[in-house]
Amino acid sequence: MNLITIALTSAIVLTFLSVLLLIVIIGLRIFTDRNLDHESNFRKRALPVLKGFLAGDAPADVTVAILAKDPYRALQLLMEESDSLGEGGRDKLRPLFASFSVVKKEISLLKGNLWQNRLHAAVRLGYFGDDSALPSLMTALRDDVVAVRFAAARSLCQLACTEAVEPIIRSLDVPGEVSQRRVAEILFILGARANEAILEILKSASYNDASLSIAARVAGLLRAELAVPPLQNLLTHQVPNVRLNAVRSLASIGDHATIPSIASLSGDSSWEVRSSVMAALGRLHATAQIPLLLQGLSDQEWWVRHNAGASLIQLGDQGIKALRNAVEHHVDAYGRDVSRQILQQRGLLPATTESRS
Amino acid sequence: MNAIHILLWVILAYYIVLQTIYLLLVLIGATQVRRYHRGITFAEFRRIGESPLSMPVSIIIPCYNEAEIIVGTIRNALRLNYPQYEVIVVSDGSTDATVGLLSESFKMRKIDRFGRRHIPTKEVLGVYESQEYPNLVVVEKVNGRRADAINAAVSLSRYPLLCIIDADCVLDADALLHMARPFLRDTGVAAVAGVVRPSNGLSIVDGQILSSGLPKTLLGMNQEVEYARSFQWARIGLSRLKSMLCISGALLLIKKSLFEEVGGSWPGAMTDDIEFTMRLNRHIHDRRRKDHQGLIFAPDAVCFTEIPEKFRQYASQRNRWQRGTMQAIFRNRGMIFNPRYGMTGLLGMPFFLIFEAMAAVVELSAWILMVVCLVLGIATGSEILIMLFLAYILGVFLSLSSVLLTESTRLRTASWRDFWRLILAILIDNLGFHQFHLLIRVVGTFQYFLGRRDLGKTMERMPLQS
Repeated sequence: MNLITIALTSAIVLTFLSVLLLIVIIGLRIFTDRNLDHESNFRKRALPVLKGFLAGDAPADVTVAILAKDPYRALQLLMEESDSLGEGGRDKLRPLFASFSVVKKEISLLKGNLWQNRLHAAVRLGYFGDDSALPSLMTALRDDVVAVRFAAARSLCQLACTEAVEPIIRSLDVPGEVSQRRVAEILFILGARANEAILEILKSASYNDASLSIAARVAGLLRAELAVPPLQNLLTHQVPNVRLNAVRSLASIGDHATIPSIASLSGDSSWEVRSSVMAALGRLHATAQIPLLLQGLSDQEWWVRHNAGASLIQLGDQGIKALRNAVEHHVDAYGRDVSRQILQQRGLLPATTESRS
Repeated sequence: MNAIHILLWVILAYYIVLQTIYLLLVLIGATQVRRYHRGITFAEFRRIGESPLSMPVSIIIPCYNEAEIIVGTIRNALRLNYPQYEVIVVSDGSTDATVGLLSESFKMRKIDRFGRRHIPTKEVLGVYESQEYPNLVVVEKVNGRRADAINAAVSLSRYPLLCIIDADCVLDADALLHMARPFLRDTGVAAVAGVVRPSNGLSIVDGQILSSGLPKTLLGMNQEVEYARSFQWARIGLSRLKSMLCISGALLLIKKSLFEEVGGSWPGAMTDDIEFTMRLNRHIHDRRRKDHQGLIFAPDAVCFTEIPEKFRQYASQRNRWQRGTMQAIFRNRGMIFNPRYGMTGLLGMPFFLIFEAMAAVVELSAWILMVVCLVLGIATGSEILIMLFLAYILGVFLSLSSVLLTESTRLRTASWRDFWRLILAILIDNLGFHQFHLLIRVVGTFQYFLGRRDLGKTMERMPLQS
């Protein structure tokens, strides 16, 4: 077979494949159009009935009958509604979720081989409100795929499983600020129910720095006053991220008695810690720390200087007066610059040149 | 076997390897897009959008004499769904009414804002803050090209992620949410690239996309096909192979710390985005940073950019792109076939050099050779036609593959009319437009070797976006 014959054969095959591809694309387009229409129509029919059910106007059996016409979309709709209702209203949807009897199927998917299936099953099980899913979700906290572990953690918190706090922290103490934020945010779903377990972790010496950082952050989010003593202990921890989260959380809790211990970190070796100390002093309205904040205006890191200035503003008249004074008389040029910048941003000082407008 | 036969076989082998790589990229792209979408969980983007813990972003918009469109671009950027971000617009020595227009539209007032200057730039003349939008800052500086403007904005930025877009870009409202997601899932992500599609044909009012559509002209449609091919499977496939060497300057999200470590954009570059992506890859490998693993492509983060619909502007733009590609490759030539750079050095860089930068020259050689073969009687007219048809139908097949990948996403054509226009554009793409593009690239290649380094003519804007 010579070159031209090969080329001709290839061209004919490719022409056939291109026509076939075009037919597939047209078919896909028709299918997608119909699918979108169907979804739109289903929502138009189901949403008013669902709203009626939640308002007590529509009986459960009628609502279930309409939703059952498209179980997949019905579950999506119920999950969306569940999110918009929040924890308080979620219980109302439980009978509707239960009518689909999908928990067993989802649990079996959660134990399957495909990580995508495990991921979606872990997410859905959090909405169904069925406690029989708890053991499987706890097992999923040991999944090889981090995303599945995150999804299982969220679902456990949605199901108000307080026993899961410690396993969640242990299974998701992956390094990195963002991951720790995500875990803290998930545990925050539990609200005050998480306090006891968080306190235990903060008091214990057996946890690594990632776990301690997460626990400290959650304590701050929950404004757990009982966590103040262990958080103060963490201010001397050797890992900067732990100190950083302890400072932030103490500022969130708002106990004025912690001001001196927070201020003692103003010379910390980590600029992130120094920056959070400056921000914390503003949040805690630590007027006695004005000299320290003025000192922070000349820190070598921009964020520390900025937070020191912003905190002075938060202190009210005294702080603003000190900042105005710093514009002219601060010993450091950076300190003068950032003071002017902060005052201008808050509209407390005119621009150095006229506005273009 | 004489020299012509050897040359024929070399070109044929080149063509077969190129098309095989393309087909491979289609397959990888398709599986990656499917994998990506299957990994998105229920309400994931809404949660990112509502979370106060999402990483804040500094959006940087460099502009030079963009008074026609800049207000629309900024209004679009200010409407994005994202919990915390700032918009920094840099007027890079604009001589038109850009700065005055911005002052008027957004009630700007001059402030003293300073930042850490890790990267030296041309002089900053003034920083302005909007009285209406606290997260909008305008920087006026001495002209120093787009890269210099970006570097100046980075010095003034406050947030750990930088989103760099062009002055003519309109972002999908959820684009930032989609681009930030990889950073939240994996701390090792260095940068995220998104999909870029033509904005010509969209209906945009006050920075808001009201309806989608396709460009009106044939040249515009031709570029629509080209963008679909490039972004629907090529980039995502190359990203999977750790060989994505061009993150479009129209949409990039990167860690600020890494941007500064790399040394920022290079003002001497003709296409600073390609040069920066290559240098970023080099830096990641040179430093062997375990926490910076690579570049990710987000196939659902979409940005629309204005494409030229006049042949002269198109030629000027593509000529610059070709020269810029050559410049970026030669500046980073140490990576080519260098095992130190892993897949990027062994696959990405050689692919970029042989099948992107030099493709036009090889293809032109093939055309010349065909004529020679015909004249010398080595091949008959029908044999030449068969070869041309093979090249044509392969192009059609690859373009149709990109349509197949697009049709199941929200980037699908809005109407049947647009769909058939797109199919028609695919069918006629290789009947003149491709050859025209080829000539521009060949001229660009030669001009690069002759030392041409200017940026060409700036594009006339269509003020549909303001």
